[in-house]
Amino acid sequence: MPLPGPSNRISGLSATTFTTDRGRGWVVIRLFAPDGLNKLGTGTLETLRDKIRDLVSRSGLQCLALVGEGGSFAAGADLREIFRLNPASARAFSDLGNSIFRSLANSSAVVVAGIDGICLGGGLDLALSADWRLATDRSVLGHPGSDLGLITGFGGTQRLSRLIGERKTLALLMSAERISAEQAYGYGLVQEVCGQDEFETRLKETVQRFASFPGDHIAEMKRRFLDLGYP
Amino acid sequence: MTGTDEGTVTYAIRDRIGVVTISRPGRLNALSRKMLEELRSIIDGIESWEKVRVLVIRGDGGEALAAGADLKLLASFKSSDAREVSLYAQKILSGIESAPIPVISAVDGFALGGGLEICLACDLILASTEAKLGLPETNLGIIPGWGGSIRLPRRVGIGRAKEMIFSGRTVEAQEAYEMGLVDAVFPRESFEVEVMSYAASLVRKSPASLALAKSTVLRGMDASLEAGLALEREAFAYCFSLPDAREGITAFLEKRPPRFEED
Repeated sequence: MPLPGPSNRISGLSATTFTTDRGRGWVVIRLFAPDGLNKLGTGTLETLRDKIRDLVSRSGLQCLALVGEGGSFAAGADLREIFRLNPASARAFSDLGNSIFRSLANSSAVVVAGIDGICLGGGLDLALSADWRLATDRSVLGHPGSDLGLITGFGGTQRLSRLIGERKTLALLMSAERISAEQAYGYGLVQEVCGQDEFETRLKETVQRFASFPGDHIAEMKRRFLDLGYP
Repeated sequence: MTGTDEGTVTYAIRDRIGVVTISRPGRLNALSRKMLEELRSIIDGIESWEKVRVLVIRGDGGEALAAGADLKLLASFKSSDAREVSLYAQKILSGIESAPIPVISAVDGFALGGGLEICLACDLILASTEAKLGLPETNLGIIPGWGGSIRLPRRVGIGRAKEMIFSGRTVEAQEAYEMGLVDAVFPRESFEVEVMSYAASLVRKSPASLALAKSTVLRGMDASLEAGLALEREAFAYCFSLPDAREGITAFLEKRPPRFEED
């Protein structure tokens, strides 16, 4: 079957740019793709992996934030790339995402997802591997897999069910419903909701607050939660 | 009058939705042994219903899904019988829980005791504004015997589950929604239509995705995070050996609704 649409190009390194802000004990990584969707294709994931690997290995990092610019946190995987997967390459793609998200979850720093806009599929999985989710009130979150003949492959089925319970997770996965930030707050899926105009201020406050905590205590607490089986 | 007295559990298929109806007029659909046997044979047959993509469990009469097990039946139990009936019912409910299609329970009126335990084994609980749900067993000197004490905490958290089970109190629709016990509440007047419309929305989803999401989430919750992630990875990879992924992604890229057909 021919690939539908005009472009067969797999979006990669060139499509997404990364910028980094730093302060005392904290780093904010910002993703931006020209289409405003911040899709997580292989190229983008590989760059993200290298950046995160580099950052989390440094001592003194207490808070790492990931932010999507341009109207999306991340709109999920690139479906043109996904279309070409077979079971073996799908496994490798899942492993790539999981290795990044695992390093975030296992990092001794507090990981913050700053969500302003679309946060779907693999993008939601990325947000779920953070410790803290701050979302603006225009954000929408969900897993569209049941409309695509897929299930998510970057840990979402497991982290979401541990976060909000297996039944709410199934309701979201089965319906492919896109929920608002406010609904997500009600489910316990995001910890903080703010207006779009206060997003940068709130993000900075949140990041600085976590960066000012005693670092060893945070690392120890994250380790204990993981030992107890919490994501 | 024996037939009517004992109640019935029947099913029908409408537009790829299997509808199971619990009926025992005048007795709030309290479940007799005969009704359990009928429910069991229906659930045992699910795998062979090729055309059915969603199952709805509802109560007849507009007063209850089911007000629990027949108390006369319970009163006649010796401890060994109780164990046997509990095991029998638990097997039915495990069958509902592991069915490879979404199962929705529709609660208009009472879902008490065994009635609520049936709901707890379903993927979604939809309630009318007149729904009343509870596990009143402790008021009768017994405890929930069909999985309620295990599944209620998984749905609402252990604190709220203890409160409901210890008090045996009945929770109304709005409170049930707020605590996450029911997934949606609809006005009584349009309830049946809303339930069927919700079920119809799931009929249009990928059956493969629904089955894999269900098994991956439920099996994953009984495993460590890493073991759960491995299950998910295998399920994700498996999608690419099935026709649904090709159709779903193509439809998305062509900006049209997907059509997931039978194999």
